[in-house]
Amino acid sequence: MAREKRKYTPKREDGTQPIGLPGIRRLQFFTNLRDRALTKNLNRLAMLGIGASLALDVAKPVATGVPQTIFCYECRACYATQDKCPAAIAYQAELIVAARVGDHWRFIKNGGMKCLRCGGCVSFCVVNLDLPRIFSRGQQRVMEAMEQGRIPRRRIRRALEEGLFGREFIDRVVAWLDKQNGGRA
Amino acid sequence: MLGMLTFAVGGVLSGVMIAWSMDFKTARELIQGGLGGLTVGVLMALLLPM
Amino acid sequence: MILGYVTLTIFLAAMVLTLLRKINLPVQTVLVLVTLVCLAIGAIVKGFTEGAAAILTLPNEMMGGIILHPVTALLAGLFLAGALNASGGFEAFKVLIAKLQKSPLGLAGTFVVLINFPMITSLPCGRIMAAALLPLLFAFGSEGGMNLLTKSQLIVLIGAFARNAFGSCGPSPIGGVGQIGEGFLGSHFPTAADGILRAPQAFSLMIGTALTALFLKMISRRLYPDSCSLRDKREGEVDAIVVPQAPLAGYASLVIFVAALIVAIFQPFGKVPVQTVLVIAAIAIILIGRAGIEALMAGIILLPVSAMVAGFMAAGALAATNGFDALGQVLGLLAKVPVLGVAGMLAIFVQIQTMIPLSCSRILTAALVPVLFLFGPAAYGFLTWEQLAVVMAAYIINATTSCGPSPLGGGGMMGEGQMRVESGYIKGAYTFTVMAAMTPLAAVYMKFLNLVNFAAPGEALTANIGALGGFVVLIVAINLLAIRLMARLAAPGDKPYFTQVGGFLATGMFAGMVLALSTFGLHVIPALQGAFGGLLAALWIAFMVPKKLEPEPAPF
Repeated sequence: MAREKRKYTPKREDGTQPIGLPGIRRLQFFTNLRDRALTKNLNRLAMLGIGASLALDVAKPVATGVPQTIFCYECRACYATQDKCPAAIAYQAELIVAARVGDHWRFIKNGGMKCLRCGGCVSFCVVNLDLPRIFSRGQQRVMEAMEQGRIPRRRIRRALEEGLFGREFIDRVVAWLDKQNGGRA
Repeated sequence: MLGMLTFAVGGVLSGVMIAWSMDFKTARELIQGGLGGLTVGVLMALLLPM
Repeated sequence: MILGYVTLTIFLAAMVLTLLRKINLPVQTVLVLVTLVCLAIGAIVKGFTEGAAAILTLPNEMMGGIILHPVTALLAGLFLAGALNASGGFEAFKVLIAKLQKSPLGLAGTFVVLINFPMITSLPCGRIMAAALLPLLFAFGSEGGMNLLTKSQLIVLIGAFARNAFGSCGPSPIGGVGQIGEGFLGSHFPTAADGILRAPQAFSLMIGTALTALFLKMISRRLYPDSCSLRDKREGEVDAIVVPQAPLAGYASLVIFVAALIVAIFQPFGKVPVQTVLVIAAIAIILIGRAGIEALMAGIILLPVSAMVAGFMAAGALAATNGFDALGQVLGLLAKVPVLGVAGMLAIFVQIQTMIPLSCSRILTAALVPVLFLFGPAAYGFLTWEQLAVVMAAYIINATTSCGPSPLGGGGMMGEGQMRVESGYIKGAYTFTVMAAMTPLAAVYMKFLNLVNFAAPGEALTANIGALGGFVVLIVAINLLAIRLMARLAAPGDKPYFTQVGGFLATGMFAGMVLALSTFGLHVIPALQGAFGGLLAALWIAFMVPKKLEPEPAPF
């Protein structure tokens, strides 16, 4: 049976919405989109997902000891460190984001485990984040995650082969890989 | 200096175009628009590394 | 890598279909669904290839796509707007504008300065100024109470202001998007981090804002005549301009607002996040105006925030499933197509963020600037350092302006909300001017003037102001001509729409050619390849501009 389509009339100005500021009702920008819902619950679920992700993105760095990462603009001005970084890390901002969300592989593949925490990149940061501290905490968390089996073993082995672990971590990583392989190197 | 000059000329051009787009079409209004653009261009040039 | 191509295709298809109203759902819902689909596919593939641990890492990798800075910047701007409104700051602003009307600048000059205000302040996110000042701009119209501007003037004012705001994060020295490129160029140009990309961006933004105003006036209004529900004054309403009385607290709040901007920009008290300064200012304004916390909260509108975050989530899911790697690979492969070559590939590369406009330019810039850098002497050697700087300037201005026309929670949607227009109204104006004018303008400015100022030791470059002037005049003239021709035929319907597509294609070709000439000099083959690349980019951009904005029937 063909379903009769109702005439759709846009409601760009919905008088039932509360006024926020001059010319802006709360839902003004998306009033026309609001009428597009297939089911209200789908949209509600989507909004819940968005809210939860945002809340988690803020709460997680606070809970894991890197609250400063919330202030990162992700402007990547720190890339200007260039050859002043003794560990030849090119993408410092990637390490900050990785530390914020707990993306351990992103931290490793961008050279975070080679960082010497010298602070050479700090002067380039436009909001003066304590980068050595953030990177140090990131390194600790990577080691913990590795030992708890939360990073795929194959990626750890690849990182080791590519020289992505600094001298201070190599022994621990090799020992862990040995243990995983039942004592075989 | 060349940068300042470029921004000043670009500012005037931009100011006149904006004024005309906003239906300010008398000669006096277009000149005012150009003057506004000149202000923007010079101010911007002063703030930039040249 | 096949995974990356699959998720990239899903993302692009969802974006195009949403924009063209083939998927008739709110943008947030679409983006969350895209996120879930991409993550599910990623989980299946990674689960098979790397085991269960790889699946568990996916949500964290997706979360890495959420950039907090634009979210907090928008909230800070909305706080300020709420505070200014409650304390009478907007009234004081109106009195000031009325007084400036009688100054040598007049009303026209005052609005020119106001439109360019976001660029002058160059804050690290355009949403701050847009959120704080858009309600003020609305107030200049008949509905806003001041009766100073007509409906068509208000459309141009709001559209041009939003254009300027959503490009102003580029030249910002305190965390602007341009700093990504400047960081890389520091490998060769010793003082690049001081702002090698700032002047080219600011210059092209200034000219591009004016061309956007022109496009809105001459084309958008004719193409979508019924879309705007702003109204002019009704018959019988008072014709006079209404200048309100502003309380003393209003003037005080304006002083605090300006002082906060100065502190945020020049940072006399050390490096502090801009948001911190602005929120402190908002609280101070609230205290002086003796307004309640409700006034502060009145400005907060959560829907733009949720759309933006949904965009970040989808981009994060794409990054987690190697979608951006696939995009970089496709662009690299284009250089091997004979008719395109390196010049044609670069003509497409510099337009890529306008072709795929995301809710914040930082997402793709962070992924693609390293790829662009690799085209230089550091890896593939397609470009010299000077050529890389020229292409970088063109790429960055295109990137930083891309949140403006983004239908996925981009900043331009705030302007469209204030104009009372359907989503997509500003897309033609914003994408045309970026593609046809701003991108080549930034390239020629860098080539003929800025490189000289930032040349590495030992290099003797000579500024060629004549060539710069010639190119600027040519670019602006071609744009004016194209806008004029498109405007002559602009009207709703199929035929005028294809005329507009023709205008896009011609100027896109021209932009690609100018980029090739700026990068490779006067050589015929790269110029032709650049023109062809520009044509392909323009084809995509033109067809992303909605043909009509009359709402489709609802699907229920």
